[in-house]
Amino acid sequence: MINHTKTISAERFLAFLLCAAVIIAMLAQLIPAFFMPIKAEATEGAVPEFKTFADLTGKTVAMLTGAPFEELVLEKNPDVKEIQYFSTPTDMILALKTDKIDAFLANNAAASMMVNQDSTLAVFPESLEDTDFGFAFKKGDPAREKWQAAFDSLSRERIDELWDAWIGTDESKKILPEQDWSGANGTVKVAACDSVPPMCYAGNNGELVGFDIAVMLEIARVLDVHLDFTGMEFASVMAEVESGKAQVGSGSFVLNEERRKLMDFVTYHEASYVMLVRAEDGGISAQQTASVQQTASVQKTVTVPEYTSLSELNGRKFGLVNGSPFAEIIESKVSDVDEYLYFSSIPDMALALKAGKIDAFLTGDTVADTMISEDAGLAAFPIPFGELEYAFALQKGNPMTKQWQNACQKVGEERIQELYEIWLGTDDSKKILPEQDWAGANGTVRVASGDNVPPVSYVAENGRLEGFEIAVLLEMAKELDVHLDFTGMELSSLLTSLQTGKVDISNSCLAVTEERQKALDLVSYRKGSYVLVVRAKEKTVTAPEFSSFADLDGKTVAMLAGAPFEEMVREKNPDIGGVQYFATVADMQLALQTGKIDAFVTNNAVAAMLSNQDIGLAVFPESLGDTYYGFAFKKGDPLRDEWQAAYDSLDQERISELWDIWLGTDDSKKVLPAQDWSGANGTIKVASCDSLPPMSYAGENGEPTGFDIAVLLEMAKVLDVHLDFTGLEFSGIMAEVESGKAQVGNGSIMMTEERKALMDFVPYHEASFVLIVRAAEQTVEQPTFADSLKASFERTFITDARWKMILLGLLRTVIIAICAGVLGTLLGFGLVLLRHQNNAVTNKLIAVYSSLITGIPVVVILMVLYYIVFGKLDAPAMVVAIIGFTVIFGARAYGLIWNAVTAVDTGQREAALALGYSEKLAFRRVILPQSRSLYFQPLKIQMVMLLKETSVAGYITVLEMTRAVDLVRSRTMEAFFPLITAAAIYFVLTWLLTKLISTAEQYLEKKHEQRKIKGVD
Amino acid sequence: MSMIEIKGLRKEYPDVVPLKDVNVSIDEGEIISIIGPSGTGKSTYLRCINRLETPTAGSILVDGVDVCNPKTDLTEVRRKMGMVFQSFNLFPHKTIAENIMMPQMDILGISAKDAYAEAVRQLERVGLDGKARKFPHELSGGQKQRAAIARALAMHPKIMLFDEPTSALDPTMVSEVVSVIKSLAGSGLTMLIVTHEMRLARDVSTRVFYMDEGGIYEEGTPEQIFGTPQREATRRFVFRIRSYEYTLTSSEHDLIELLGGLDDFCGRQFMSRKAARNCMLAAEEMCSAYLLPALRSSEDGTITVRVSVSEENGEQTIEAEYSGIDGDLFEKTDDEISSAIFKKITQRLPDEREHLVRFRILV
Ligand SMILES: Nc1ncnc2c1ncn2[C@@H]1O[C@H](COP(=O)(O)OP(=O)(O)O)[C@@H](O)[C@H]1O
Ligand SMILES: [Mg+2]
Repeated sequence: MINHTKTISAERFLAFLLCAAVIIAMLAQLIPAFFMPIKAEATEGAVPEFKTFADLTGKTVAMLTGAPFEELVLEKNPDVKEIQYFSTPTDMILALKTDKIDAFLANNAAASMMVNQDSTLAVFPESLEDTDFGFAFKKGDPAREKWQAAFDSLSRERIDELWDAWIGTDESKKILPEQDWSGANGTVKVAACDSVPPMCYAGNNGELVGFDIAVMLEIARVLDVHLDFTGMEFASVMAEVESGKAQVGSGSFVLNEERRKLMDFVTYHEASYVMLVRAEDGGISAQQTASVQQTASVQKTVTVPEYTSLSELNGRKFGLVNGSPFAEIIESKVSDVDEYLYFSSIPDMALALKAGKIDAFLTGDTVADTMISEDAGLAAFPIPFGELEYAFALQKGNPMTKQWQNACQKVGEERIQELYEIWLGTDDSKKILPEQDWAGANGTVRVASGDNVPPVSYVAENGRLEGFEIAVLLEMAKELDVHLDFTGMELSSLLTSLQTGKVDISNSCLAVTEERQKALDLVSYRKGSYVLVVRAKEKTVTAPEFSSFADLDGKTVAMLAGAPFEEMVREKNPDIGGVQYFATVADMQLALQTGKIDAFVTNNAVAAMLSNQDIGLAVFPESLGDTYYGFAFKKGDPLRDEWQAAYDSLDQERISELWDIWLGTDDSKKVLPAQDWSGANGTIKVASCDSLPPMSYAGENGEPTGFDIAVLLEMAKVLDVHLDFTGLEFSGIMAEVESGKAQVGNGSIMMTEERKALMDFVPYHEASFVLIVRAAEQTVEQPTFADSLKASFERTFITDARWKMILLGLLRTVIIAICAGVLGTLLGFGLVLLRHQNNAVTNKLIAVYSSLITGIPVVVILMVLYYIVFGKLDAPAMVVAIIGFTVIFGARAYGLIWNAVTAVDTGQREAALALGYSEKLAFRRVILPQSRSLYFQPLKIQMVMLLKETSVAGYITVLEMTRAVDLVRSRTMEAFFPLITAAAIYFVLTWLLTKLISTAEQYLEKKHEQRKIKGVD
Repeated sequence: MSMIEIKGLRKEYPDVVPLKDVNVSIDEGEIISIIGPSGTGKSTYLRCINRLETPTAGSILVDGVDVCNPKTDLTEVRRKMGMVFQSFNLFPHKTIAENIMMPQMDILGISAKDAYAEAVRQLERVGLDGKARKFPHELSGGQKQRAAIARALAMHPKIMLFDEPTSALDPTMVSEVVSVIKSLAGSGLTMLIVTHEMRLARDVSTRVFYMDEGGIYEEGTPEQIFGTPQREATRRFVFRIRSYEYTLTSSEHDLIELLGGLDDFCGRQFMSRKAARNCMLAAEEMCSAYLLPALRSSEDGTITVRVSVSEENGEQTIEAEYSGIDGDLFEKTDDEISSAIFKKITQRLPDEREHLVRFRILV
């Protein structure tokens, strides 16, 4: 009956565990649903989120780079948190919508248009300053008077009509008249900004449009002149007028004192500076969330390190393997380590890292690379932590060291590299260790190897050690004609084994450090580097909506106005629906996101940047054409060759590092060096495009920045020249260089044949024209819980026959427990008999032994036995484990039995003595048998405990159950099945043991009940 | 030749000395009953003989072997002596048969078969045939003690030591054990029986030792010890005399207290109403007739009044033990009436002790 209930309770326990696991997994899947934002309906009225200047306290306000509005804002509310500068209004809108800023300044025209277009935006009701828009004329130009008079003659109604048309959303009304008047009074050159909608911007075909243009055309009609527009960057307009290249400048110039001093103006509309803020309860922001959700479903995750800069590592927790000297290396780079946590193996650290218990750990590249490639949850911190040398360790002063070092040289770097590639490769069929079939004339060398350092040394499924280092050691052994006897053990045990002379050589991806060199003889065999392993951040890479040119049939492809890509696209697919031209990449991006176009052409740098930004865009996989980015020099300029040489001297790795930084999303890393070199070779003028992120654009303070600039500065450093950058429009760059105003031009200039004919270039990076498309709407298949459980089960047990390893471990556990249980009990009885002799000396010895054993942790006893007591003897770990547990269990059994014996009634002894028994005989025949009922139960409990305690045998390299499960766990990087299995097996084992002992007990009881008399019945 | 010869035996414990100087000689076949109040060293005495205790001094010759000599093989000596304990001390994990067989086999090297046959024989002898396969806990107290006797007998000892064999038994079971012991008498065994069973002692003993005051206080034939014990302590013990004492130190003493205490004592002794009345009367009249006047005429005299009753024969005595008073207390009296009453209900008894006058209270 009792057994029956016990069976049921065991089953129930397992069922409970399983249920709990299922419930937890389901909950984990449900949680995101709970926290998903509720989709809100878009609201019509755009009520501003803030209504008074006081509301802006602690908020971030943005404005265009170089705009003189900072003071205006601070005057109204000195407590705004921060002023940020952006290079385009589009950026500011995006920043506002993504909560990066809380308001930005714009003039009333731009503001009205944006609000009309986007219901999530609202105009802040208070104006910062009221003034006028004006067209610019050169100071003292008499033409201004004429223009003013012409403007004044226009009807106010007509102006207002135009204003409404251009500010509004109805594109059909935004039509410019043809210049169909005679133009008898000549042609006037107008420099107009091409990027300040709605006043003045490039239309779909690159022509200039906008309110400004419309008004000017009205004026021109009055004056009967024709207008010749040139589109350019805002900053260039005034210069153009100043230099006389154009007579009139337009670009929604808002008049202020400063401008009035420089130029004359024809005022044509009221202007004011207003702020744009988010509309209250912006419906669109909910839509945005939804669209992010939508993209989320097509995102596939790639491993990007969670931390990418050293400063992010401050205040983090680092993992160290017991005894590894890496703390110093970490601290050489990280100033503020929160805490170190110690582990016994690298896979344990990896698990802890993934579980968030630590934030990073340092290891050699060999181990790190394998781990990272096998586990998507891990990533390498991008900044290297220094070079290292891998070595095998020998005891200090071992005369063999020299020979081993020689053997290493004989094996040769090439062969080692070959082995490295095999063992770190994916082709498992090549990972075969040679048999030790050489003579072994020079004896056998004992090797202690880390048993859990894949891929360099680890326990394979058959229980044998395998790995890169094992392979190298065998090659070396062949050279030396010695045989190797490997013992796998925990990392922390390796050096102890070595130092206590248990083994001759130890290996485990050991890095040479000064400290180790002092304590050990090291045979270095390979160079590598330290890698800091951190968690991988789930970064999304999106699959493109279209993946071949054929998919683009009937689709609209966009490109920048004036870019020569139309033919390239049509060459690939003549059936595209149409080509549209935009003034800026940002516009194209918006058009693509809103579905107005289906793809746009840009260069690989922009493409990479956009796809990094996680905004639902993806790079079309096929390239339109490959070339290089080049820095432009005047044709035949000898400077070019100098710069080419400087470029060639740069480290390619450095270049690709810069590429990653500037195309990445982490703005904190986008920092240019100060030009702190002497600049002895003079100053070079560079014309830089100021509007082509990520390669070349105006930074927060208007200074040129970007990948181009970073590369140029590296080169300048080599040449020891200072660079003087001038930011200008892309189209102006080549002219600037051509004219000699600048010696070098940059702006992610792609080296097309045409351009090469015009200029000389220093190519500095591969370039290609690529298409950006929307991310595809695919449903990523979520593996079901059952499937993932099944996969996990397979990984844990089936793959590489891991069950064999667990079974072997189980066998060892059982052997240790049974041997130690039986021998320990015998030892206990022996000690009790000895104690009964009551000899003062033995009594003392027994007391010391038993208090020593009970006073020292089991692990320590085992290690003392293994490393010290049996240190020099060549006792197998299994034997030491059995001896150790026997010694431990013996002390406990002695204590229990002796207690039981002393509890037996003294009358029994006296009766026996009175009958003629000697003390000894009385003890053996009368007292001891009677004490059984007193010690039996406690001894049974101790046996069960012993079984569980064998799990620490792993410390002395015995591959028992727990260790086997640990190894599987470290291989699969999963804790669930291995640990549940271990728990279940231990549970079943202890249950079996209890049952076994109980059966024995019942048997004895039954025999007792039978009253059989030995020798009579 | 004497079987046991003890000279100058002394046994000290850290806080008591139960045996001060014991000298005794016991002949073969003698049956000695040892009686005496508890704590007087009877067990110690027996246990010294088989060396379960080590004497502090003295010599013990058992069958000519000096058991106190460290060179003596004790197991050899003990084999000649069986011992029966108050608490039986059967081996609880063995059946009765095995209890009897085990020592034979372990010590005498007898085969299981022979040992079993012997066990059966001995069990028959003590009237336990059929209990061989029982475990000790399955037997009654009397049966256990008989099994223990059988176990000792199976070793064929020359001497049997019984240490209060019936003390742990229910009264109903005492007789079965007593009769077994009686049946052993005359079998040639030398027996030493510590017992409180006076009838057993009287019926089987050749000699009775009364132990008290660290030694054999009085010894004699059962007739002597139980009939006419010579010494006071023996008498008190044999006759199971219980006493009530009250010490008077001045004539002002309140008799009420004395008489109240005496009343309680009489009640506790389950005396008859008449006997109790006589006791009270004797005490009261003795005090008023003799004791109080004597105290009145002396400076610092004290008198202890002791009323005793024998549980054995119901005899009541009253005695006065005095000090600091000259002359015979009972020579003269002021209170003639009290004196007359006292004399009427008492009869003076001879007593060798000084300053003590003893009377039997007549009923
Ligand atoms: N082992 C011992 N240690 C100390 N005192 C003891 C021991 N055994 C007996 N005694 C004391 O010796 C005295 C005699 O004991 P014992 O021989 O058992 O008396 P009896 O058997 O006559 O009742 C008692 O006061 C007892 O307390
Ligand atoms: Mg006693």
